[in-house]
Amino acid sequence: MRGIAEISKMKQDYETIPVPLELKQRVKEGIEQAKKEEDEEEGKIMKGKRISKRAALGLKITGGAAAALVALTLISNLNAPAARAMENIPLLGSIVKVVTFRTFESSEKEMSAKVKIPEVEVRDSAGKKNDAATKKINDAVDQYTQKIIDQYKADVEAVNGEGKEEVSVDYQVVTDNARLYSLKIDTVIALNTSGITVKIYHIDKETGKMVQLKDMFKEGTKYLSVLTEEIKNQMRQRMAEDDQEMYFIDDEDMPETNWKGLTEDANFYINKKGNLVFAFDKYEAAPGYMGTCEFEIPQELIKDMVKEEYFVK
Amino acid sequence: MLHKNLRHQVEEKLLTSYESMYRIAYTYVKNADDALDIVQDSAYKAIKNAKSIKQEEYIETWIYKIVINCAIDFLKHSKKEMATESLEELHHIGTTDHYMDFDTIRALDILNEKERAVVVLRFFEEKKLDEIAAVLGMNGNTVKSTLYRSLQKLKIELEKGEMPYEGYCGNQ
Repeated sequence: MRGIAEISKMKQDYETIPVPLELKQRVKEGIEQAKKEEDEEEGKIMKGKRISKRAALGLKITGGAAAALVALTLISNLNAPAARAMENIPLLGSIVKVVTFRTFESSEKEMSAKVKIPEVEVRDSAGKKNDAATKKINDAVDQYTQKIIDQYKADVEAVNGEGKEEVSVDYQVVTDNARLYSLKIDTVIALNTSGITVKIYHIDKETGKMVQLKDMFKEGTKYLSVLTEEIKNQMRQRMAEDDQEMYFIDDEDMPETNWKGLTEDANFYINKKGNLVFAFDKYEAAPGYMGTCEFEIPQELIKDMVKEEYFVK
Repeated sequence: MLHKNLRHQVEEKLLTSYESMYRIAYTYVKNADDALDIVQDSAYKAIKNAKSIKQEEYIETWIYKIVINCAIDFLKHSKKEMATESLEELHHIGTTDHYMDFDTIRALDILNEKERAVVVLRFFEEKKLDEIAAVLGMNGNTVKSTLYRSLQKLKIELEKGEMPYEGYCGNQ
């Protein structure tokens, strides 16, 4: 097998390619440049987030605030049967509200976590609590937030509390229209850089059921590919219009880093205009400095595919 | 928190694998200055893209793939520049290295991009077939057949070069 012997010679030649002295330094320069750029980008994002949200809200919300929320729910619930009696037609729609929340707080030297876990209540139009629907959404939220808490605890344990980490979880009602109630959970996990994750839960007020992306569209429609194309077009347009905008798309150099397209578990909500909006995690489709990003889908594009009842203002 | 962890892992890998990175780059550009540039650029890209890594156990091979891509890119660009230069100049490009005989390495030039990447990773860096498949986005059988085909091509190319000296020995 002479061929093999020659190829072995080739390997020998490869292994004896002399390595210049400055090589290590050059590698370090590449690493440092990338790290510096990334950290600068992270720094900007973190500062923005902090001041706008958390400081304004105040971190500790006491029992008083929670009680006020409960009272609010009661009043609107009391109104419901009265309204029905007056018009004598069955009122569509459940009443969905965040009635209270629990917090998980922990801090060890430079590690801390503040996790707010909202508790939702679903009542039917008569004001009667829908236990099954209430339990379902709360269980989903609990499971999701518990995972974050568990990960934090595991991190603390792994480094004996000597690490640097900051976890904060907050929520926001992003849709509350005639038909849908959507609750968004925002998670910011800061180590040296920070990850921002979004998760949105939806309740159909008419059925009390939790709604997913596929429920918003008529069966058999190719909404995922249509939406993916639209979002890609928006990314390209934004990049063309603004040098500062950058998305993981059309990179021939590293195709594995490109955004893979929309999936069933994509996070979305219906905005005040009644338009479908997709919310992306940080890093999901763009470099860290872009933070989280959103894409609003024009109604015209999907009007033949959607179940119109969900697309209300 | 995973992102940070990945970046750290990539950094550590870079600091243990840079000699291989350099040699891989060198097989493409065949001179030290350009190979150094490619390694630095690859280190930068690897850190920047660390969070896109899906399989942590393949970080090293993933880094080599970045090096290969950078090297290919570099060659494409330098070709464009060369097109505007005279033919005489063209003959000097890529031969700045005088202290080693890399006729065998030069044989790699007959391979296409995919073949060359597979040979470098499998044969020079001794990566496992399934790892190469995962990192290059190929299936395992394609990697195998590509490797086989490439070795055949190389064998023929290398034998050509040796004919004047060993022709009398016969073929086997």
